[in-house]
Amino acid sequence: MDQDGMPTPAAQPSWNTRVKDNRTELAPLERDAELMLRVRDGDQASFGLLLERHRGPVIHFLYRMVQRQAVAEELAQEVFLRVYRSRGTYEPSAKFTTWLFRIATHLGLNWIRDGRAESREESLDKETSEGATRQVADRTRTVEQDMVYRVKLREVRRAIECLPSKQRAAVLMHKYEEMEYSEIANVLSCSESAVKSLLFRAYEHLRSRLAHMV
Amino acid sequence: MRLSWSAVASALLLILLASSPASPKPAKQHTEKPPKNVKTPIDEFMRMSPEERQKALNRLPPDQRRRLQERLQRFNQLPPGQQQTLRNMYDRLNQLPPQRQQAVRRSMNQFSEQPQDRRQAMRQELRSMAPLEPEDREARMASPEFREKFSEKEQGIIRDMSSLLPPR
Amino acid sequence: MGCPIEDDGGHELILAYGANSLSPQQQIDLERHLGTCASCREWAEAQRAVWTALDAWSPTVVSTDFDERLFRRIANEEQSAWWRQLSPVNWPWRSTLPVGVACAALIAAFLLKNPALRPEAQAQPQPKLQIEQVEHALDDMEMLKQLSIESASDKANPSEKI
Repeated sequence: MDQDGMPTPAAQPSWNTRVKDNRTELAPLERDAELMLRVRDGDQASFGLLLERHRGPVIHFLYRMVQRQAVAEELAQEVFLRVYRSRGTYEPSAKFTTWLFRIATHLGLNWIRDGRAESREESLDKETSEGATRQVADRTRTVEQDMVYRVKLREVRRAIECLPSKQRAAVLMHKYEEMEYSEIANVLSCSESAVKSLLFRAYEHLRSRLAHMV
Repeated sequence: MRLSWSAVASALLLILLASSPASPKPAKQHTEKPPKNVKTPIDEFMRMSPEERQKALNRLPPDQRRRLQERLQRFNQLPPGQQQTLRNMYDRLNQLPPQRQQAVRRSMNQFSEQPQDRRQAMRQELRSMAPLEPEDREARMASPEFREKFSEKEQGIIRDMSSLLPPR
Repeated sequence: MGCPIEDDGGHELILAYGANSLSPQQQIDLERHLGTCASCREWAEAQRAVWTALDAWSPTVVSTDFDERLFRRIANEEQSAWWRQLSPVNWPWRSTLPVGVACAALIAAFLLKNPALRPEAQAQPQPKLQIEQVEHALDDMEMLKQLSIESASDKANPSEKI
């Protein structure tokens, strides 16, 4: 048993393999800060656990921001690199996910601002076939249903892409990460009222584009 | 060739530096000079025509619109001197690099969360640092008395807030 | 219940309704209102449609080698940092460093003497003012106000809340 009363794994896994032990399922979110403090103290397996827990949400968030899978993964790598580089000076002054998404949002917004995306039409056309196949497969759809799904998905992606970048980030965090206004405000370094304003305008735009889709 | 480039560059540098004024700046009085043309978004907004202002306000939800109008009214009712001081500090805040700005805003939030007496103590400390030269401010914040008087968190807040003090 | 469209925080209520995140009682109250208010009903239905549409965008599949690539980058970074510390001999810095430093200092001295040439001193095209900028400026002013560091040139006035 270790000092937390958790069963010690038989062999300490190498930190550069996916760590799967029962700590991932049982640990509450508050342990993120605890894990990061352990990374600060040199425990690289804890970094693996953090990666396991947050890899998906970060990549999905960035994918929806930049709408290119390869770029999203590259940016996500940069997010975790920065987390790792900052381990020496980490202090749990804010929630870990807030910090993580602050880095991710910053990188995503920079990428959008720097205009590295190809023209909207080109990128969406290129990505729709790629993106649709990379979605989690739903084998229960018929060919017709699949066609309808792709058209719907394209509309949704276009609508999100038309949002100004900060509104886009706010909506993605609100809808897909289910973050509270206060947390979004912390991520975007603005007030809660600014977040509400961003979301109000973003959803207004989305309603005008997507409300016909029932 | 490289050596001669280096020598020429160094010589030019010395000439340029030698032509800079070497005398120390005279001690300045502690008066806040208005910086040139400080224009905040609030000022720009107030310069818009009533129609344009209303159009901009209509982009907000009704409750937020009302709150914003109330806040604007309160700001505009402040004494001119106080408004100018705030504009100057706002200007200094926005001159900082973005990451410093974020750090200063976080410290300001933390400041507002402190108890009243601690806020007063930090405020007093900042007021007493305002007339000092930057090096003296640094020395003050490094002094044992300062460290004893304020917690580590408060020291960080004061340090960040000191970026907003008028330059000497 | 008053009309959410007109009330304080009402649009947040409808957003939460669209997201199915209201408490059971709030949901009952709101649905009762929606039965009588056409504008709110239309808004709520549109918001629910948006929410459902956004649900269609399911997560992507992450590359199986994501972690491996990340750890490789970390390992490379750490290795190159170690190598840089030990072995500067391959750098031509001995001959180029003085030139680089001198040039950088020259440029800095030149800009200091000619502030008009600094990019920020030149006229920048003014972007259109956004209402959010006004809100953010007020947020900043209110935070700054609490510091109440009036200078000697200000009239002595007691602090007031903005």
